Amino acid sequence: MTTDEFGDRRDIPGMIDAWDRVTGAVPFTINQEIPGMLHAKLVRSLSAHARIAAIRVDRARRVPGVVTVLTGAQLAARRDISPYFGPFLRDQPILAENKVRFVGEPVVAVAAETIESAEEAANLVEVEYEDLPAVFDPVAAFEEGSPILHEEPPKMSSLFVDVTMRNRVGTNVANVYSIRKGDIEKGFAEADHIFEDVFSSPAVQHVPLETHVCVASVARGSITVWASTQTPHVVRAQLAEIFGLPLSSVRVIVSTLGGGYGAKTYPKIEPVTAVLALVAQRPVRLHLTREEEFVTVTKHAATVRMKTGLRRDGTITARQSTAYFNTGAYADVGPRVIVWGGFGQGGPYRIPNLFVDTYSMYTNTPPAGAFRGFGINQTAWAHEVHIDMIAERLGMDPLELRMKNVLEEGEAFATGDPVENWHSKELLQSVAENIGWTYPVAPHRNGSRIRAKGLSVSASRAIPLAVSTAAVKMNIDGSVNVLSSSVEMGQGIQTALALLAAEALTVAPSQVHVSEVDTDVTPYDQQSSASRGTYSMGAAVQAAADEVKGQLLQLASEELEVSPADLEVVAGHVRVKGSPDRCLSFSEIVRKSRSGNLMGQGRYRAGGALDPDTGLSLGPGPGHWHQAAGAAEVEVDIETGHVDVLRFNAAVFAGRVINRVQAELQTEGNVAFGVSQALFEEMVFDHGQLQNTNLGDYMISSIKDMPQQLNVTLLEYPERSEIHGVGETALPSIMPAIANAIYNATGVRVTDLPVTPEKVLRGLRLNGNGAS
Amino acid sequence: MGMERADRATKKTKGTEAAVTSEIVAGPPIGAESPPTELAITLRVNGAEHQVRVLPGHTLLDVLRNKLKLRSVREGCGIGMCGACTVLVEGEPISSCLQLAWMAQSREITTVEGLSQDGQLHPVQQAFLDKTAFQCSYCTPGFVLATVSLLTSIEDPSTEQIKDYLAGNLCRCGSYVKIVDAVLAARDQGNPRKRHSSTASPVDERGVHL
Ligand code: FES
Ligand code: FES
Repeated sequence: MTTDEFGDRRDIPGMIDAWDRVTGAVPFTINQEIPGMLHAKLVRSLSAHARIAAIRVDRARRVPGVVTVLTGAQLAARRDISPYFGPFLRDQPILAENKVRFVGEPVVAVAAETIESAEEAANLVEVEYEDLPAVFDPVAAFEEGSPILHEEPPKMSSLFVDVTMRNRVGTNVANVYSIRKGDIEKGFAEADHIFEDVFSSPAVQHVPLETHVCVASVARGSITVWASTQTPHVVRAQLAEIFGLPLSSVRVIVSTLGGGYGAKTYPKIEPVTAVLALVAQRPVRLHLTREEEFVTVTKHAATVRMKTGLRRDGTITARQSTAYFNTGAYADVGPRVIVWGGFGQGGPYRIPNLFVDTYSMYTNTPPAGAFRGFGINQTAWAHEVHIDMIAERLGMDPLELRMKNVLEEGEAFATGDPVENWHSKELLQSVAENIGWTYPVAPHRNGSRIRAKGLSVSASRAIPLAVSTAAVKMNIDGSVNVLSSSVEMGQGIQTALALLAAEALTVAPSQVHVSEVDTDVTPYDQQSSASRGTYSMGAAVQAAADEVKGQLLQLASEELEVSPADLEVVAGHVRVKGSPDRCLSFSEIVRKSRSGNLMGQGRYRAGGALDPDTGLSLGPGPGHWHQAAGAAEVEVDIETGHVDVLRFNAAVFAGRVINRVQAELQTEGNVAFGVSQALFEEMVFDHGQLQNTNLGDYMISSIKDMPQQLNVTLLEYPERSEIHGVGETALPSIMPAIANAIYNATGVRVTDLPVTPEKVLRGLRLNGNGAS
Repeated sequence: MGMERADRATKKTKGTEAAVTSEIVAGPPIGAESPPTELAITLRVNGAEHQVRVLPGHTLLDVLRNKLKLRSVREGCGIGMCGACTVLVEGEPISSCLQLAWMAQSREITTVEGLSQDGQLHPVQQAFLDKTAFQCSYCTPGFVLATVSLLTSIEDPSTEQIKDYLAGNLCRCGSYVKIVDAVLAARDQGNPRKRHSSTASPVDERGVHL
């Protein structure tokens, strides 16, 4: 066997379990059943903000098959349960205790022998609400006199060290992140022009086709949950805290997810399922309906007010920007999202004087959490439309204005840390060339349809201070097990890790098996999100594989009586340099040394802590800058306002691509996400009541909404051997590129997403050039 | 967009009557003193007959997934909009979340479990595998079955026809580009009608009937 036999990694099928995926055999958590399992149903709040005056459960309890009907008050009365959770602030009750804070909040939980009985019982629970004044908008929630959601200071969590909590007790501010870089007054004084604009984007839902599901079993001081979660170790830590158990007594098992996109990060339904199992003393299964999924987690709606000063030649001298992120009724990961939403306001640009305040605001809407793009979507929407508006006011080519101001290698990001492996210019150049960018923009009219192009560029920073660990085990036959807590959700992480381990150990990928996640067995990983799986877990797996390789060399050196320095590892063998026939296979080494198996451990730790006062980096950053550029060509029908995205060019920096087809799929998937967020996705609320709670009323992109032509550019510098996650890199650049193209076609500038046909037509009418 | 979506919803729920009936029959049994009576029915699925006891309101999706444990049949929306629950009934793709189980009696039902034979993937499955036309793959069985039906009902479909036909199947991971590639590959690889019908005339390698 030689390394050549493994062929080009790019020839390996996109996913190692592809067969199971096309035969439908892949084991989603929705398939999980255990004997004696009960089915759960939640009674949810009908009021956006209210005191719970009374709950009547007698009729529900009498429904045949009902085992447990549980209220928040009952939970609060138990001494074996700590009934609140949340990754940064323990502000979310497992079941509402004495008040409700959003329509859809779980109030009562029912467990019954069949789902039909559970549903029937849930329908018979009566809850009396005394309505309180409510607030739905994050800017209104900031104003004095606004209704306050949380009067009491919530317990803080110590799970994460990367975010400084500056929540303001007695207000709706769940956290604040500020940047004070340079001298903002001096910066504006140096400017010849100052422009200020306001941008907003609505709440949207992730819509994983598999909704949240959890099966929990509680026995003699231990808990096992099968959960559809992207953060198994966080769920374990929170369940341990809720139940007052050591981590070792909580086991979280995660098989592959039917989509995540951030929705399945941090505890959601796991706490309530587990407490039901405890109270019922039976295993319990909870599987959300689509309607329930919509009110479980959302993408933060956000309003950004951005003021930028520039010299006559277009050089940015200063930016002052304030953003209000709507984190909903409970903070979830909102306190961290605003850090990204904070430095995101600097974009990929060189801004010497930057003054940013970003607020995570409580409102009476469903909790907002992590969403693909993590705070950068909302801010790239602002800075990329803003920069096009500025270019027009200055009479400049928007491409040139971007080129003039984007960061170059080694310059300071918004957080002050120098950017490395930075390629904004190259990415922009590539999409502009591919789309055939010209200035002045030349819209092309054909009857009522007008075509034009638009550009954008975006960037983000990786999660600092995060830790991933992995273990690699070599068996007596030379085959390899990788133990990792990275969750497979379609991004192909198991395939990527198998390829990396195979490469590091010079074995065939078919010899490598990557475990499913089981916190009893698989080592710690902070989270499978923020596109960090491939690079951080990948680095941990490589380190673990290197350790195994070191052991192989040591053992072979003893066996062959040669110094390890004179040995080399080639294609599953260790051999003496220069005498290829003095050679042992891995299997022989493990066998002869009577090792049983070899075990290696690896760890990846990111740096990059931020100063709580200035928001600036305290040391070397976490590296791995996510960078993208997008170019769209759209066709707008000015009679109907309908927009078709004809072509899209998405370019992302990919470092070294491990699995090309997966990197393409993820980027194409971002385009599918971006097109529908640009044009029609929006959760519509009326007094806190969601109006579009199903896939009939809430549109997501279908195959027909995809650009007719989609080019994905994966910019690689493989010689630097650096792996970059691309799970969400492209997304933030997509919405503004499309909106800028629509403007270039029609002269209609929409600053609040989505750019619906109604807004296009209204804009055309206001401009006085609607279809005649 | 809205209009297109409505079209495909109607197309997908073939037998709209079933959908309408479903709402009436499945009316909430709130406060019922005794559980609704179960029906004993026979379903013909993937060539085998199954006796099952179902409630009148049980959908075909409920029964295939939960009683017959055919795990390729998955709910995405429950209202006929996403296609994740697609199965073939007499070769026609339907949303099994809208079809009442008892109404599907004595009709031939095909799920993805019934496509691969003797450890061999169906050509459409093989094409999806070759092109990696999925990420999480939650939607894949629905797309595969819709494609099987497409390739048996439209000869040599164009890219536009493919997109029209598959517009009722949603893939939130956005694997659409590679899905189209897979369908084109399956189309060019031969007309799958041949596999299922003994009366099909021979075709040449481009799927042209001889
Ligand atoms: S679950 Fe049946 S179409 Fe969505
Ligand atoms: S592959 Fe995930 S929904 Fe289609």
